[in-house]
Amino acid sequence: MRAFDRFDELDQQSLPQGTQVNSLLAIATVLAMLGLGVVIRNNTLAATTVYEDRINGVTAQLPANWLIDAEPEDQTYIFRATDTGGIPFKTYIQVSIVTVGADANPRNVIDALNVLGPARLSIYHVVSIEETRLGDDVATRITYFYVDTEENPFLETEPTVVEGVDLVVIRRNQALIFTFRDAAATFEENEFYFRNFLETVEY
Amino acid sequence: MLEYQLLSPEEESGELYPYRRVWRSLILEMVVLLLVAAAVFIGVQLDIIEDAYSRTGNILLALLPIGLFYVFSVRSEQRVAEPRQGLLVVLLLSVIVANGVAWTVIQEVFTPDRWLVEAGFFSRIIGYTFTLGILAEFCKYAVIRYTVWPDRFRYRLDGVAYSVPAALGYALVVNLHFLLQDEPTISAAAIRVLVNVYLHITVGALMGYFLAELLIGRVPFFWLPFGLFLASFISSLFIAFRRIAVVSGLGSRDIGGLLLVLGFTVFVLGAVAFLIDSADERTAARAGLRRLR
Amino acid sequence: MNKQRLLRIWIVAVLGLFATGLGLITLAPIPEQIGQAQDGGADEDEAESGDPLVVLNENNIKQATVLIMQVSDESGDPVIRCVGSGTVVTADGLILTNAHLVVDNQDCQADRIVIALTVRVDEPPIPTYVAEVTEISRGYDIAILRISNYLDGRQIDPRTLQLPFVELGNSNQVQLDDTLVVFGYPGIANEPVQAQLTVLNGLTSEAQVGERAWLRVTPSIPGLMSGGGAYNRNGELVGIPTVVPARVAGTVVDCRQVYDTDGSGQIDNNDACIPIAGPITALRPSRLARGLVQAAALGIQPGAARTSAESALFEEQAVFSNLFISTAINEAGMPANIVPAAPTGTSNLYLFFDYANMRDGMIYELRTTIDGRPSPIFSLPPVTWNGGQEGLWYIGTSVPQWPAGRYEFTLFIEGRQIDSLQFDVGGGPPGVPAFSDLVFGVENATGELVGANYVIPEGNIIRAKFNYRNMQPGSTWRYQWYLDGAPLGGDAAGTLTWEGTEPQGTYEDLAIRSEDGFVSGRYRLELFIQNSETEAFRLAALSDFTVAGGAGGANDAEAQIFSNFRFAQNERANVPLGIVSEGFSPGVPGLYVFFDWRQISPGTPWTWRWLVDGDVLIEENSRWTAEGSGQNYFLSLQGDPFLLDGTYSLEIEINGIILTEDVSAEVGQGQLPIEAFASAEGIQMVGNVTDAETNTGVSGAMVIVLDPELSVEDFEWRVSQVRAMAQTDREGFFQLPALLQRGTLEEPVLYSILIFADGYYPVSQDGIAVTDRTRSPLALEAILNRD
Repeated sequence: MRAFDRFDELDQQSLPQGTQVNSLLAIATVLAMLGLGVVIRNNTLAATTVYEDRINGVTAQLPANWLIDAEPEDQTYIFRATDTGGIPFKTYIQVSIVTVGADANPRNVIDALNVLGPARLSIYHVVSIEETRLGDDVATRITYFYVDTEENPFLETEPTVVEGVDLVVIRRNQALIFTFRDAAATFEENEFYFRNFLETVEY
Repeated sequence: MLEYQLLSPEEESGELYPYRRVWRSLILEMVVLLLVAAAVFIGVQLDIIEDAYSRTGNILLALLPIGLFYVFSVRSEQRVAEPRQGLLVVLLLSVIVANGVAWTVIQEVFTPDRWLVEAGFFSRIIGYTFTLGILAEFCKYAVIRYTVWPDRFRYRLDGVAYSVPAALGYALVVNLHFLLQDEPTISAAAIRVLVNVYLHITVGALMGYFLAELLIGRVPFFWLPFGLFLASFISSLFIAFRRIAVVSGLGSRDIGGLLLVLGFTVFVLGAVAFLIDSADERTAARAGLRRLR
Repeated sequence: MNKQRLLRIWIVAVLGLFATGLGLITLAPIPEQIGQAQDGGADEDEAESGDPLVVLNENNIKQATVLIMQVSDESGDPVIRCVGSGTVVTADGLILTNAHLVVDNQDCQADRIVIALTVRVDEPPIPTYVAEVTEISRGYDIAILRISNYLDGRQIDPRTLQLPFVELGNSNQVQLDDTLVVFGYPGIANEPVQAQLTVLNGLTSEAQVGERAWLRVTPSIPGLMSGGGAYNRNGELVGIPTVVPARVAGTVVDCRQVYDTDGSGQIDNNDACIPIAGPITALRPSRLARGLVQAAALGIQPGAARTSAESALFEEQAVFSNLFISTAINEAGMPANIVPAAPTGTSNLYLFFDYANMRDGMIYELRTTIDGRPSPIFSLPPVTWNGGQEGLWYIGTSVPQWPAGRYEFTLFIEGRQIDSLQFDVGGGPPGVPAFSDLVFGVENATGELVGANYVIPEGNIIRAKFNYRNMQPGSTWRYQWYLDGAPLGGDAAGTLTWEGTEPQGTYEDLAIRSEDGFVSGRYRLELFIQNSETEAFRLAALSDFTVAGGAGGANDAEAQIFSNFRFAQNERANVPLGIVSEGFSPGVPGLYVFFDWRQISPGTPWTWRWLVDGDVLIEENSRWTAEGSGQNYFLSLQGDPFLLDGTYSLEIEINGIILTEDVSAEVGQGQLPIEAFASAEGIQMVGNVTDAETNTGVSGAMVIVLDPELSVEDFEWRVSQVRAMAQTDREGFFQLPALLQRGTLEEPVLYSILIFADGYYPVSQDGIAVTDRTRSPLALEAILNRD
């Protein structure tokens, strides 16, 4: 008996058939899995939860696992959803309501926001104001930057340049302000949260 | 019984063996790596080694598995009658593919830090299987499949032999990115290197078995897709369990990942060895040949 | 066979792995548990090294210690006028400090108070906020500031502040020889906060404050640390280091020019300077600050009071005179006796003196030498005067034993030496004749002395009684009655021969009579004993008392001065306005108490104090400035923006006698809300979030603490479930912006915590216990792992 044997010395007839099919199928499977992976990723990132504010008549799909604040101490908004994991800035979507006159249009509200901005936000700088639509409604959208600074003197937090968008629509004698704010560096990457929100918001 | 043994032919001592013994080399490499990691960890615990970031130390740790592979596998390969060719080529190609393709796709497309880390146990398994897991296994598979397979595959153990450099190449890229970007301490680096190397070698060996079996055994048409999926799934299981192993309340179990990967390696490599052994036995029985070990 | 071999290898490998795991687990560090680890660590330290001198969270105290700067603008640039230290006592920004550091005065003409915080304990403080005075007691030299603005002028909502703060301890429990640690800033904004060990080796009493008016420490502390805090071994603030910059002839002795304020292009003596106080050896006890802190926390301030004609300005020079020593004082702050010398073993001595022409805000000082050597502990460093224009004052010191020697007590006003007294301590008890314990009353129908106090109703007879000792029959003694500093004639003075046969006893037969009745005013009786050898008379006893009000109470011996107390919401032209009641609805902005008075002489010292739910919040020593009798005198309290629910009471006191009884009104529920002092009664949580693999802080991690009744599993991503949340800074440090409520050891309040950061496994923990023993701040260490 031989001390050792090699499989390549075996009868070639015993080699597996269809390796080519297997290889092609492997590539196809991997591509399919990767495609599915991208879908899973996107769906996970875009996963939402329904939030309904019956008092103010606003319903929207908010990103899942974002922290929802519907009882602000200072009453400056009706609810806000915040991404608690965001670094360096906690991205948030916020809805606020201001009472307006019968003849008010979104631009009036934007102008008011624009006046208040420098008082509320550090180094507030508006980059664009444009007319747009939200569903069937006329809306005005303002895009701005400001610097977010930590006011607790014991924390060494670097200031963050924040990009913000306020979108205003008029509902009877109320102006609804939909706000999205994120670190300028990641704004484009995360803006889909706001787009998804605007696509689903009912008011 | 005694008489029967006396009548039996004696085993040939110093049996002529033309190939490098794959398991022995692999176990040696993994044990030495474990000893080094354990020495660093214990040295830090006993305050013999300062647990700080060391760029040089971290690079050496990342390169250590490659060095061990060279000493225990490549050099050994050169001393046998019929050496396996192309091990270093596979290693090099794996590094290139991992860095050029896999790492880019992970960072640009999958961005796991944004969604996969916070996912729950089952979501992590699914998410990882279909993204990072399958990408890693496919890269390692592709490097072998389109270089040394099938020309250099002669035995099932060749699947393991070539999967090791492919895994080491991939692990090297992952390790270097982590060690140089995140700047871990020396003990964390030692554990991270060991975990990544063990994980990729273990799952790579499984994929190597599938590749060898594709060539040698009788396999169905979905053999390779199944192998890739299984390897990806198993590595995903590890990733999902790793979180449980390392997180302890608000604290961290430093060696949780280390213990998990040791158990995982013993289990999966044991299974691969068993599968190869069983398949070899079946093949030998079918052909009426004596089986190699 | 092969399969069996493989199986064996596998089993051996698994067992080996198990053994390796056990070994490594033994070696691996155990993740630190919060809270328990902190307490345990302290216990361990104690166990290892015996009782530590001081157990305190030094970093927290250092961060709660602030530098206070009075600042004004010169040519548009801010100029520091005065500096001192202070301590944050509530999380929402109340600061305890010395009053002289924050009031605009001749040495410190500024327009705003800037607060500099220690962000890193080894670095100088950083100017961060502007503060306003919210409560002040010039007499105690204590003020409470409230942080009000950022430096750029933006207003601060106190609710958004979450500053490190310290708790006030019980200064009455501090004992001689206790070690105290004093925190403050020794430099003019250029040095980090410092801690200095001192030992309490004396207690100084003072008129209008009483015993323990000052805690005396050695070694001395740099003067700029005045206003800071002295802490006991539990890390509680028990004293406020206090000293004012010494002045000579109205000019500050030590002053540093650091700015070119006159625009001369160089810094010289013509430029404004920053006064520097001398070494500190005296601490104001925290008990004097507690009420002010509570009042500030409740937003309560003394409001308008009935205005009266200001007393005429006087030009005469301020003087101290008639210095003498007593070994004890009574409840009215009067000397129990007068001694010419004290024996060895004496532990208490009180230096009494008369004062005249003094003005509140002046600086006075006592320097004491023993056998010619200065003795800081028996001296009183320069402090602010708040005793009014004239009267009797004392400074007393309690030590285990006054060292034997010849003492010389020298008093200074504004750096000017006024008077001095030599006094010997040592030897055996003197056997000289002595009078003591003078007390006054009226005469009842049977001719007996009734009542025994220091406020006497108007009448025709005033009786005095006193104890005597070592009096020999036939010895000569003398008495003299005074009214408002002037000797009374007639039977108000006389020289008598001692007729008693007992060497010691009580003498009750001294009286003064007036057919027209005694008018209200401040009276004094002095008793003298003649030295049989020198025939000189020696002052042997002295006491002041007040005659005011009509007779009432038992035996008509009690003075009825104040009556007809009424509470109202407001006043107009000295008349109650709005609801006059004893119960008010919630949300009243202020409370006025009106009362009538009779027969009280202008200039009579009196004390009023407001109590809320039985605790004294605001107290003021004053001089009566209204006419002798009248109606509708009023005092008031104002809330910011309104008075919280509670029971508000007023007490009036003259010569240590409380002359009011149950004068109170209820607002709302009549009880302070539970959360009234929430800004100082919870614990702070701070901590670090660290990367497990890099040992560096995780920046931007979100720390969420759930409401106590919720566990991590209950969390549904609603802010309404969150007690507080914070974000880590670039070092991984965080500070929760709300205090955590304390439980007890038996029923701890249990909190749950979640921590998130991109790229890291989220971590969480339930059951973090906060008890009444949990030290603030509670330090939390969290370690995050990457994927």
